[in-house]
Amino acid sequence: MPLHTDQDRLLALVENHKGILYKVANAYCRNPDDRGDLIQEIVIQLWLSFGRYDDRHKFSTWMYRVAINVAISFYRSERRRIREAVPIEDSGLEIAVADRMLEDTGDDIRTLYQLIGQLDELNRALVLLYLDGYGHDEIAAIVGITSTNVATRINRIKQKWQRELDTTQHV
Amino acid sequence: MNLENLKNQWADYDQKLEASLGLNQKLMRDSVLNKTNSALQRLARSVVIELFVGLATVIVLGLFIGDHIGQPMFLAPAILLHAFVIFQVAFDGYQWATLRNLDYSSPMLDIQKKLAKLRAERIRVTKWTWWLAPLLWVPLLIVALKGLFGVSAYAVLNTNWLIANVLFGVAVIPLMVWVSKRYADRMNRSPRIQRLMDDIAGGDLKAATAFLDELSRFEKE
Repeated sequence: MPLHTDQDRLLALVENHKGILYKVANAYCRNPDDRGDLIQEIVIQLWLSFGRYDDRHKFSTWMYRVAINVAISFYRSERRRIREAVPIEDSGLEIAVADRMLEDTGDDIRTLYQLIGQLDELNRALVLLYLDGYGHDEIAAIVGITSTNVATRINRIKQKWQRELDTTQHV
Repeated sequence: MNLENLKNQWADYDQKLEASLGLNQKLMRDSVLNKTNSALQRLARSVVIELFVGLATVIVLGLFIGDHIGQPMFLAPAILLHAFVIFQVAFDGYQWATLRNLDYSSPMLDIQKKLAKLRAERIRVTKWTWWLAPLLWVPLLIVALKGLFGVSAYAVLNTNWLIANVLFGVAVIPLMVWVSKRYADRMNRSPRIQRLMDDIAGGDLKAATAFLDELSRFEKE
């Protein structure tokens, strides 16, 4: 049936880019228990929006757009107050090994996640995309601002972070 | 430690991440099939229910108005209620259409602006609905008694009683706002009531409009 074909196609694409789910959930959920909820919301929204996906474009870019939009709405919504948390294992993303890897990977990546967590939700999106290697023009298209604005904001964040890193090293 | 190093480390981490994550397709498919769980779907569903209830009320009130066209004492309160319900139905329709047309793969700023604007409007409408509700109590009583039981409220209740009720409604509004502001934060165990009280008090409206301002600043800088 077409429904299953589309589902299979979407899940196969998500399988190849599942890191996006993990990174976005880690960047936007202060409470690790909320990650299951957010991942589930993102997957549902990916499915609901999949009909509008144009496969001439990169799936990862499209997926990032949906994931970030859902994450910001989720972050701001009262859902945090009214929902019963979906356990992470029920979301379909198995993250135990990735969580352990994050623990073992050393302080730098954890520091990076902490620095991302200190940003507001809009700048968090910019930085995630920048770290994942997107160029200023691509980020501008995903976020909906000019490339100059992207460049200015990223430079400002880099300078701020560098000052914080320097201060930490001197302490 | 510098940022360029961190970015390189992030790239290495990213490669390992894909390999370390598992994806349970059955569970994920269940999430997709059970998409009614989505917060947005639940919101859309409650809007549709409100829309149907509102439309039914518009029809019933319309019939009542038609039956009492020459009786201003019943016509006036019915028209007041009708206008109120028509506004609610129109707003529900607008919310439903906006939610239905939301494209989450649009640029971040576009979609967040639409959502923040809708949220601010919803809070404003909820706030004004609750603020006006005590004033609509008397017209509702007049129309309900006549429409349901064929009884004239003017005959069974004296005018002073009706005036006292209107004045009571006016007095209740500031009291309701005060209670909402004072107790909204304490409703931890009842989040739906907390949200409603936040809406009445205008607390969430400040957050929603502040986010709209933040989005505009983000776009301009």
